[in-house]
Amino acid sequence: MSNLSTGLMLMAVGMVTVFVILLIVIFFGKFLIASVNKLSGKDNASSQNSVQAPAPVAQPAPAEPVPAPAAAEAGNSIYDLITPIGGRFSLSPDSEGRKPSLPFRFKKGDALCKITTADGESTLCASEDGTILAVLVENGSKVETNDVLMNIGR
Amino acid sequence: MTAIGNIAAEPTFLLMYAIAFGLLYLGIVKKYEPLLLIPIAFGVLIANFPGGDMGVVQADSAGMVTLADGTMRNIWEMPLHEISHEFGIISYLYYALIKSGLLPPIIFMGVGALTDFGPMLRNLKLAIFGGAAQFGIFAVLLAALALGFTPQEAASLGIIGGADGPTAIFTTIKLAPHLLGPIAIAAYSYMALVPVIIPLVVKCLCSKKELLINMREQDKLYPEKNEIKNMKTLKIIFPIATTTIVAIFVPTAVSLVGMLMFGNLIKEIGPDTGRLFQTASNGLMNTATIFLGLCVGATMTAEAFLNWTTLGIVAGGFLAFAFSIASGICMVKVWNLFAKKKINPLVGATGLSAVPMASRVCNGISTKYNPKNHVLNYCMASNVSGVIGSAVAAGVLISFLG
Repeated sequence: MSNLSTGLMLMAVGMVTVFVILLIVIFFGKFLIASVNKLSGKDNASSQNSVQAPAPVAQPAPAEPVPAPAAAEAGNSIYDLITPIGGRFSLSPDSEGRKPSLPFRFKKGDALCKITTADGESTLCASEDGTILAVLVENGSKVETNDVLMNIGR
Repeated sequence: MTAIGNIAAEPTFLLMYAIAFGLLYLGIVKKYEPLLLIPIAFGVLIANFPGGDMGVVQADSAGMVTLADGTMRNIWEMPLHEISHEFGIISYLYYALIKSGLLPPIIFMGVGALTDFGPMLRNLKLAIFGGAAQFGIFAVLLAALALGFTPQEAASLGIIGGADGPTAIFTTIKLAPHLLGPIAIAAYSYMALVPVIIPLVVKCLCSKKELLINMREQDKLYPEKNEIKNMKTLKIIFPIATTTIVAIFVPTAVSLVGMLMFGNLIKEIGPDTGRLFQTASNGLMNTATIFLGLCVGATMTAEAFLNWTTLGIVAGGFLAFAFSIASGICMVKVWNLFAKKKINPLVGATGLSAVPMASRVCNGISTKYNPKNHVLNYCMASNVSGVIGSAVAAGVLISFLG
């Protein structure tokens, strides 16, 4: 019996400790995010280039490669391919790492690109037929979650 | 000269070879965590040849061992070279590297170097589900106590539910070293079986509607207030800060969490510590894994392995896993009852560490129902916090029972 009560005590203490620690990590994390944001806000004003590496990669790109005729040719709607994970971006193996000549037509299920993370590779496959209108990220560069990788025409 | 006479006298050895061959098959052909299972399986094999002196000699609770000439010695008073001389090199490695608690933290450092806290920092709230999934550890601990295990054995058994190999090994070394072999095997085999266990539990507990919850749409409906502006700085500060917090509250967890965060820090700093990162995540971790696997396997000598406790561990380990997944899912369900922003129950299921396999499996489940519903990122949040959670749970168990 005393063993069981030891067990119950351990369970209570253990679960409470785990939750308390995680709560502290969460709130402390929020505090960290807020304070780092404040600091980087100042940084932003003084030195533009040191903060947010992915933004400059993604932003200037749409200006040049999206050819208007291609968009018209492909149909009406254009959407962005967004990466669900962060990692190293590389174009799909079938295009042998070269940039596909744009606009590049693909079929449902074709591999569009790969994201290599520390744990392995994830291949992003097309969920419907379409056309790659522009690749916004350099082959081999690092991408963060929710970065826009490509413009796709339906 | 040969081992044939000894083996014929004690046919239990044959059973151990069968187990070793079975594990090798699982590792090589079925590819269940081959990096770990194969060293362990080969360790089992070489440990069980009489006269080979490759098995680990376990001391009893007072630390006494019997030498070849029949005298009793306290193993903690024997110098390492004498252990090597009397019991063979595997015993030497075991007492020098494992029993001293050296290798699991080194492996944790490598795990830290391969872990990305980014998804967790982006979805900090989800980290709490990594805590809920530790419930399985304590539930199985209670069940094992009721079945008559000692508190130390029960704790080592429960920690399998943390789904974290190094944590399980570290806790077992501290609390019940005689069970190290079976517990390590159970922990790693069930981790390898995560792609089977998670879908099973999810199928029992979740409705299709819940699995269809699209976290990204929920994010759009109820956006996060503070967006992260400078991820790099944050990722560097986070391991330092977390180590400090955890160390203050649960000092016994520092050897695990501290090393995990150190590994992560040298990764996040980037090129300046790139060489340290390379070593921690490749060379050092692989070296540690080889020694750990072989020595853990070699603890499974016939007399240490073939008993009812082992069966209890195999059954209890499975229960611990299932409970952990189920409690994570249940906490999400309770959360969804009250919160406006719904959470996919798969995020709860990944609170069981097993990074990153659990997340990938859950992503597979969600995309099966809706090919556009990627939950990987959100799962990684609770997945990574599950590692911290199970290390903290281990710290609590060690500080109370050690």
